[in-house]
Amino acid sequence: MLDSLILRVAKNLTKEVTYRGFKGVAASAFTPVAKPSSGKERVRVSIAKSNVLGAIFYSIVSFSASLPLLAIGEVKAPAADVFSVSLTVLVGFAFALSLMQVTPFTSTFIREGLVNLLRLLPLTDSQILKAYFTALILYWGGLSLAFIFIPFFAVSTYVAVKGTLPGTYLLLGLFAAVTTLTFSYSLGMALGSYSYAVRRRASLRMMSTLAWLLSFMMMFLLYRASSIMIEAAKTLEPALRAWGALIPFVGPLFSAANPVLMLGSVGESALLVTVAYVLARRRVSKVFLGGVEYVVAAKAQPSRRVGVGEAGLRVGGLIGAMIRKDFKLLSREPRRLASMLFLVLLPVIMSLPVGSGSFMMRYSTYMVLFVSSFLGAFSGLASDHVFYAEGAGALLLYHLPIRRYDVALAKALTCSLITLPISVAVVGGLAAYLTGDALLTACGVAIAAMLNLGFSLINSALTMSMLPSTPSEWSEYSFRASMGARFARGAVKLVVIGVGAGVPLVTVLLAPFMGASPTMTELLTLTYAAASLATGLTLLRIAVGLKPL
Amino acid sequence: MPGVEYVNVWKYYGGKPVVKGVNLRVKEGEIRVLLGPNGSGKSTLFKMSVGVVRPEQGEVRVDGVNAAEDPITARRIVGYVPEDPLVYESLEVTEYLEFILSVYGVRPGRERFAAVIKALGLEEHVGKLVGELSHGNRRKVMLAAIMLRDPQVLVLDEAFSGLDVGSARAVKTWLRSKAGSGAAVLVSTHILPIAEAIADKVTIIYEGRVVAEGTPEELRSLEGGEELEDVYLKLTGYSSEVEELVKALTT
Repeated sequence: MLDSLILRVAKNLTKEVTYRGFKGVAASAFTPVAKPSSGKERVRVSIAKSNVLGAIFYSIVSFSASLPLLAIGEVKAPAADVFSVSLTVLVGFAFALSLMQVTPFTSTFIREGLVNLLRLLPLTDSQILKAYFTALILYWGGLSLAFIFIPFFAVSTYVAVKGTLPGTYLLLGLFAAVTTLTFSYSLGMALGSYSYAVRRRASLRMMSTLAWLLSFMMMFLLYRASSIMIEAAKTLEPALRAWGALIPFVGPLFSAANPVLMLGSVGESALLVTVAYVLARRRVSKVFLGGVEYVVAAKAQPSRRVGVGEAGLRVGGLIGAMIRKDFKLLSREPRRLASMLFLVLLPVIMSLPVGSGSFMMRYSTYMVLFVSSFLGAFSGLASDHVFYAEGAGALLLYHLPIRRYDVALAKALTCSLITLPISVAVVGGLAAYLTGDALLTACGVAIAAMLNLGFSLINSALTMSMLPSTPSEWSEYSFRASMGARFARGAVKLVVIGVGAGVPLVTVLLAPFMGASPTMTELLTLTYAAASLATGLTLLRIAVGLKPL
Repeated sequence: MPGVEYVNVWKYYGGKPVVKGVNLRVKEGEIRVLLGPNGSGKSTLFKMSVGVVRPEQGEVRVDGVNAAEDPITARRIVGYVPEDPLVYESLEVTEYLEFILSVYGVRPGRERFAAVIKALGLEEHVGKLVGELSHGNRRKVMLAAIMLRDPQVLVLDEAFSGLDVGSARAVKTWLRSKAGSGAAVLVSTHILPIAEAIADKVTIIYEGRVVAEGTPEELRSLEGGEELEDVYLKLTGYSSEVEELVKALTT
């Protein structure tokens, strides 16, 4: 049993991680801890608050994943295959989620020097570790992760009792769940402990950004999870099963009929878990308990520009400097950058089911216009992340001779410079592939570009108008708190953005049914995109204005 | 009018006055040290010089510009260093300086840059992330930005906090040199020997009011030639009763 000292330390540790995380450093998007709703309120943490919501949500997901097992007759696939494929999706979900839970917590724990703070207290190494794990599992939502599997296994046990699903699969499934959570927890601890190094090294930042992006994508796969599961279960040919055996943790499920293959698969999973565990253990003994203060800071790379007298400083214009600064900040926050890039990928993923197969070829013009509009408007909304990237550094802006207009413009341009090239490439590639029509391709690119810039500007302008009234950090938390205080403005923003971004999509979707020709639809969408850009520029000038920050 | 001027300034937080009718003028070529206990209103006064905090009553003027009405111009005029360093932890020191100087449109030469970095002992740190620096070094980075900008009005809150001896000497020399070239300097510190060493005039503020003002010699003479520390303690409510209480803590 945990003693009250460990619980108290763990609770306060979680409060501190939450507070410092929401100051703009590394708050997890999935942190189920109650956030303070205003600057004056304290961060409140409890086991129930940290786990109940997550448990409910994950239970719904888990139960949804088990539905094909209950309707096995209609699915027309063996229960064992449905079980294996469904569990694979859940395992992927659990892996992404637990990684997203453990990594930011550990990163804040190390980067903010909280581990050093704990070591100042009369606590043993074992008590510090216990407090860390207790904080993660009880107060940071770790407990709720179990509900990704509990309803699924409950339903599976029911199906097994009915005799449809062999009991071996239940055991192998349990093995998959336990090894996945152990692996992702260990990996998350190890990755989180490298947060300083990630901030310093471009290669690690790139890898980290890609890893976050993959995690977000994995989360979003749930969007199509049920259809994927059923389709995959139907097509589990022997060759596919052999490949399936290679998938870590769930591999044994796909090789249950072949003991040798299954043994190899179990061995592979065990090896991965062991490697992750050893890595986490080494990092823990070095960074948590090794007495190495600010371990990575001490290893900071010497300046590339140590000869300061020779190199001098690169001083440029105001907007250029703000954009360069925002690029640097974003490039050193892989999760933030991945969130921005995800907003570009999301419309593409969501558009795919709309335009699959013959539908896509038949309505290729509309498809190009739909994707251009969706991608253009949606990717422009990523500008919020450029604001959040400021974090505690935003306080500095209030002391500089800059106007609100300059900030909003710089944020919008930074957003567009990151998202626009990808959007244009996707739209251009899709249009060329579907139609081969140069004019339509140019039209699609122009729509995506104007909507991206337009919505970047509109979103930045509206965000500026909702800034906290006194100098403060800029983060998801502070903006949410400010939005609560300025509800009317927040509502206006949601309506303007929602309706504004929705209009071209609805127009394109309805056009074929309303008898509008492709050329007419092109012209309408193009005009709307140009109007969005003009609106953005006007809003920036009028609503944001030239007042100082 | 050149310099910094506070005219009957009042400020309330939550209905409670924290600055009560302060009048203060720092002329060009003068170093004024503001002394006062924590929470006496010093930082609030300093923030007013760049328009971050607006007085409810009265005016704060820098080089004749009303800081509340035209904060952008005031921020261009004043070189302000706050009590807690305001920095981007994810930027390297050089990147941070480049950003600040770009905002002000100041292009210091290579020699000047190298001299400032050397004077503050930052040579080993220029390529590090600001977040990797100690509190004192972060303060030095903010001071470096001001030194590179070279403004003629300086408002430095706890300017010497966390600085090592060498850097503190460099900053003192720089402040004297700036005042010699006609700059108006308003500094706060809790280190009284530094205050006595650099101040042309000292202002003591307590509970939002100016309770004494004058040259260090004039202030010492207020209480019959005692040390500045004794004068300061008497004016800011540190009584013999507190002294006895502290002594009692050890028994």
